[in-house]
Amino acid sequence: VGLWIFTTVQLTMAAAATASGSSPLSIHVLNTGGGIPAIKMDVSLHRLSSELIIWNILTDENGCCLGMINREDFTPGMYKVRFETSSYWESLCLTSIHPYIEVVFTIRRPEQRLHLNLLISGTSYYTYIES
Amino acid sequence: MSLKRLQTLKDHILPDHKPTAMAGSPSPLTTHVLNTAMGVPGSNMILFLHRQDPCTNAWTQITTGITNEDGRCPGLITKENFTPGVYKLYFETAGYWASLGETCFYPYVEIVFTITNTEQKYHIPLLLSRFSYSTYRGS
Repeated sequence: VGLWIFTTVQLTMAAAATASGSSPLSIHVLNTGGGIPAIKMDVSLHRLSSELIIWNILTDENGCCLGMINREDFTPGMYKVRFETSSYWESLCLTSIHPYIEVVFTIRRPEQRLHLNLLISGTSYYTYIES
Repeated sequence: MSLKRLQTLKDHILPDHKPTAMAGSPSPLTTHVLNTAMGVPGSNMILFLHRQDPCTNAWTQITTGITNEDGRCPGLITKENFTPGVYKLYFETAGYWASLGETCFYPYVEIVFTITNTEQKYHIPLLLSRFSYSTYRGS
């Protein structure tokens, strides 16, 4: 049994805006059911390593998460982005078959800059990465 | 991962090559893996079906399987065992792409879904490329 040491970082919108210019990872969530950005969705980024770190952020008015992580922390390894879709759909008085969505990916090169897109409806989702 | 190794793993998971559902009772839950990058079924992909305990939130593995030449995996669950709750399909995508000599951005894909009406059939496919995937609820 390993000893998990983890840190949770709650980003304020101001801090996120400041860091957005140099962030190597950005996220965009679109509600394809309504044809609108998915606003104020809870999103967390998990670094899946012996030193687990979790970053939390809300999507902005464009459905985007900017400045989630800085370049120094975005080291090669396995990451998971978790989208709290159930809470989001409930805020719209809607339901979804997916209580949450997790996308797990691997970073191999520290200089990678990635844009992760998620398109959701109540019965489907599509995710793709732009590098 | 070589095809021989995949066959060995398949024999370990399903030694008699029998579907886990009872004969004559098709599974109310089905899946279908499609390799959209190459326009072919996602065959020989290892997958697992889990159900979440509503009290502890712990996951219990129900079925292990490997997709056939059509990218399907019959016999995921019996009608009797298909109770309302939260389920998870885990797809071993890294091993699949490695068998094709490719890398993949996603080491694995987990699709979590809620079953409310067990009288209905649920089809949860996975359309996969190296840098994207999608899923939807079919019937």
